Amino acid sequence: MTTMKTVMSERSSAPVARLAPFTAPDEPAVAVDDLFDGDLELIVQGPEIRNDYKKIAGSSDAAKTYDTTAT
Amino acid sequence: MLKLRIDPNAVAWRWNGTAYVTPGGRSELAPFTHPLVEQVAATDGTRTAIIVRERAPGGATVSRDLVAVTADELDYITDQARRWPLDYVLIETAPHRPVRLTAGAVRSTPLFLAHQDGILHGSWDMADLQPYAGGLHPKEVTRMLVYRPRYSTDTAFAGIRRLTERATATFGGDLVIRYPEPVLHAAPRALAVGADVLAAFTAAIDMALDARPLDPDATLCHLTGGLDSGSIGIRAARRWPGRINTATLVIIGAGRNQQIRRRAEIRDKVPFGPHDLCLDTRDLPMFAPGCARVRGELVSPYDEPLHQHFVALNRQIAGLGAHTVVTGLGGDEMVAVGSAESAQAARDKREDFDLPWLGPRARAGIEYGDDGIAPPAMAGGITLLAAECVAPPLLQTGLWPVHPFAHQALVELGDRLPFYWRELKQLQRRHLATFGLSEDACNPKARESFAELVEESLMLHGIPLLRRILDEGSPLIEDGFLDPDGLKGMVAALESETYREDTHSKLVEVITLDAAARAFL
Repeated sequence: MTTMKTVMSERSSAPVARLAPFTAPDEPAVAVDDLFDGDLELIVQGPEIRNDYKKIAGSSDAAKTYDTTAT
Repeated sequence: MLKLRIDPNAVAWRWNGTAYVTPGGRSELAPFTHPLVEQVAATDGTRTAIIVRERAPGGATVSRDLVAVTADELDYITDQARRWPLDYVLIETAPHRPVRLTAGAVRSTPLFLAHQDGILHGSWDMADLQPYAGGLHPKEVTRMLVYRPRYSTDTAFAGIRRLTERATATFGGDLVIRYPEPVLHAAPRALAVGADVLAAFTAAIDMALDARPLDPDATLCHLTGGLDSGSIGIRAARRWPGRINTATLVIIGAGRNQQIRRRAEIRDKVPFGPHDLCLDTRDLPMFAPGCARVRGELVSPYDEPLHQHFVALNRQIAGLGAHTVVTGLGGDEMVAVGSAESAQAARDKREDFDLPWLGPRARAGIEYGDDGIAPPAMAGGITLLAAECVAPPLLQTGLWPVHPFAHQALVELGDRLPFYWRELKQLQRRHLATFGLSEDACNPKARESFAELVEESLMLHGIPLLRRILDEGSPLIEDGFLDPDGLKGMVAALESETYREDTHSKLVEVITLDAAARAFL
């Protein structure tokens, strides 16, 4: 990875400002794991999960776009 | 977010005020003009990088002119481009070298690609690529007909490809699109003692809403009455009281009065903006003779099934002065329940390919539906496809889509939630309840759906269109995707028997695909 520091280490501040529009912003961390207990298990979702096409129990089907009425 | 025409041998770019162009106009790259979209470009004298991207909050106005940089600086720029947290397309060119396009992870809008005679063409609007549609794509048409969609670089038309999230397209003679590594997802976990799930949900919605420099006075929320758009819209209204206007299609059928009543309560109790655009679908069946699809216009088969309705609603939204639309798209996927978790979910997801109108080529293609599909992304495949579905009709009206449920914060929270928070969308229901809304508003008893509109539309306008397919033929029949005898039997059944929603509603895709095939091929 090429960092701004690597590129700019021997240059003045003007070039740094010049590249600022190209620099990705710092993003706030997504800290959801504090909410949970136990080990974090990461998986590779299979096609049937990542292309989940729910039918009756809530659906994004073009013909049946509705929330389930079951509670 | 852009339209392009690139000759890899014509890459001496300059910005002309509206597009990046090369001498003689051999290459052109036109970003979508919108307050939430910007573009930057740099060149080291040999290589050029053009980045079209969604604006991030806090960023200063950027110059679109090409900036002269060193080779090391250009490496830095392209590295940073790939780290952009919102949607982007990075275009890298160099003389006598293939052009390379890389898409961001957040595919707010699609980019379709095609090539002919050594020129790469691209657009968010598939209609622009009609000249390059070479026939029906067997795997993708099969996926669409059996209602088992898969996110991939395939489109319904051979010759037109989809640049999927984080994929890289390389073009120089031929076009190759390479998928990225899979995004890993967490398995559901137990909650820690005292975990405040609803606070976490609100915080995640806020993170998603704050990901872009939204102008509340020019941002409108879909408020359909559904739990997803309600969850997002209500939080947005609380954040920006009196400024967020709303819009919806009003359904017909048993849930209509409930939808109207619930929306009225929500708007009464929550400080939305003064305007509520409601386009009534009563007396507006789908597939009417005057609608764009039936008139034979170039409407992508992926564009909104209720195309004419959303085109009309989008025009009203734009007429109100809004330029950004926030939706609840992706809410279902956030809290999806797996087959292993629930016997009901397993029954719901049971696939039924017993569609009498499927032709031999479609039946044979079913088993290949998962071949060559995209790896797992942050947002689910259905969310990404749905975002693609709504985008072109919005962009055609100058509107930009924002789908908070596709944001990493909400996806990752949803991945981890225990079953009982996802089951039957408890998360959204309990979230709505925190706003003081009634049982009626949070837990509607009647189904609010377009299913009745689909039924009415099929009976009124769908049957004649299906008969047209049988009488005049269709590329779908010629290529073996539709069985005319099976379709004929189904049309007869529609005319003489009770409507069966589960089966008959799937004829919508037959009509949509036929209309697209007639227009594009």
